[in-house]
Amino acid sequence: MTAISMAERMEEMASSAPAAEYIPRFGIQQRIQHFLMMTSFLLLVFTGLPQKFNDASLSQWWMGVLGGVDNARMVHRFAAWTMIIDCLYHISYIAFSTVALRRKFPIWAIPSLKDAQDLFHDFEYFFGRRTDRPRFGRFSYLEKFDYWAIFWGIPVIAGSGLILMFPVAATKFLPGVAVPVAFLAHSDEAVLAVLWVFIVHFFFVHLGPHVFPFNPSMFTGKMSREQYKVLHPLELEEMEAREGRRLAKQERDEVATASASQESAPVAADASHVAGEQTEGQSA
Amino acid sequence: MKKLLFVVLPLLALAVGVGFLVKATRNTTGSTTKPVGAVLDSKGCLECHGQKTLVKMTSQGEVPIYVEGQVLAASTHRYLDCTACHSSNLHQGKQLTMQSEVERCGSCHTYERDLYRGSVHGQALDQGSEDIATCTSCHSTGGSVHGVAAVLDLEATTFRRNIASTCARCHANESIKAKYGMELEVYESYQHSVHGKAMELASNDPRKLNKATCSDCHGSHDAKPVDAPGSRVGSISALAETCARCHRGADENYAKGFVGHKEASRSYFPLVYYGERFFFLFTAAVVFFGVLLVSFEGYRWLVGGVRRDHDDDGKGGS
Repeated sequence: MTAISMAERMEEMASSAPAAEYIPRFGIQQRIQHFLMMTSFLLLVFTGLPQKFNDASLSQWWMGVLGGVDNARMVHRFAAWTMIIDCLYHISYIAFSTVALRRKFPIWAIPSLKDAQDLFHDFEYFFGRRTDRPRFGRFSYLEKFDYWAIFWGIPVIAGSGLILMFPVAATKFLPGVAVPVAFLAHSDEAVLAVLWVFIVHFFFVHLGPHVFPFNPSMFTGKMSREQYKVLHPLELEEMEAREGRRLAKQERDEVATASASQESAPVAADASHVAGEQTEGQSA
Repeated sequence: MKKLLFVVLPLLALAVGVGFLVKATRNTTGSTTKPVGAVLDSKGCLECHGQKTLVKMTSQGEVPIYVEGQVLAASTHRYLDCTACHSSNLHQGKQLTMQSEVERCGSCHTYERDLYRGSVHGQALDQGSEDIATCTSCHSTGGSVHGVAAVLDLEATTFRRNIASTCARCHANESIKAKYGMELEVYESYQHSVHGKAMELASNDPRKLNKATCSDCHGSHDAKPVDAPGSRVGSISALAETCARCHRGADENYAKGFVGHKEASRSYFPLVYYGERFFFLFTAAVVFFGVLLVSFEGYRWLVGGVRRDHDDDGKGGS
């Protein structure tokens, strides 16, 4: 579905002479996944942190508003299941789109040597050794870190959370010490997640340069060409090069069609098929 | 931006409204104010003893014999005459001693008295301890022995949520701990345990206060030291039974995971000890990395360079 809308978008871009203002960036599936992750995370934070910092009067006031820790735990567990299901949804989405839909495996999300070089490059910039910034592809090293941190965080926090949710059942096949270890792992990992999201993630999607006050692409699914040029120039160039190749091919086909003076219907179908194939990798 | 405000502002207003509503209902149902002055005093004791200046001259000097009418009025015994606990012959009675207090309370509360006599507190009292808890040490509120409150009174020292802090008055008291060789930080560790957290943050509904507190594992009137015979927490098997009273199906393997009031160390629950250190270092390292990036980025953004870089990028991209 996203591939089609992407193709349409590209066609629109190709047909109108001035460059389109917005470029699609995230498909509806990815936006839903992020939205579920965000809402469940916030619910978990606002019902979980007061339990960690139970001494604080703010926690006690907030628990009073919620009507006691039992209500907070109910919400916490609901949000926890939402987050777990969201993660399973994401994994099955990847599996479905690569195996069943035969889309390209999202290799652009995999950390590479370039990410380390980009990080080093950024530090050189920070210390004034160079004036240019690293040029990112589809995902910067920070975005990749945000993404892959969940692959470490969720097993730890959901695993320990399930042990705490069913302590008696868990100790039927785990040693008893698993419960106190899960207790500390859950609360410490949660603090890490909260600090990372509220300091680092929020800075780079809300307060940082080029995005202030808010980078809405994860909610709207699109990003302005200007912003794309700054935040993901390499991907934009790739897209433009592909678009150029597509236009060239279309032209060649048209010339061939004209010279053979045949019906144009099958050719047009063929062209849109090619466009879909070229762009579906971006929206996966 | 404007659209966002249209969503956020009503939500904010709704949240504040719900907050006030909850607070208002809690205030009406959770009220603890009682009519003051409704005290049975058929012998008119308070006419003199209700005066703050009343003292008794003894060889040790002036001893106050004033009884706080307000505290008495909030007490669950407000409809008992003074003579129910003090001598029935006016001015024959003496101030109750620790021993006579246990007997006076026990003349009605016989079951509790018998349990108390067999407890670590009752036995220490028989051995002449001056610091040991008697009935009013735990059951009186308002800073006076006369303020005996019912356990469902929110202000009562024996209201389930308040039990731990009541025990803590002695068991977290540094001088008492030093005097009797009590080394563990029992209160502190309880407050940071799942049980302590849940109890502290639970609503005042007594049915929602079903979280474990001191007396659930150690006994209340029959409180025993951990190593005493009959202790509910003395051995793993006893502990398992105690856990299973709330955690249905808990076995000895489950009980073995209870860290208790002792802090984890290299030899005691090493997994917890090293786990704590690992997660601390891990969290510190990752957050340090993130804060470093944010502060550098923010610094370069505020102090300069971004506008120019923006243009550079624009040129590079075109």
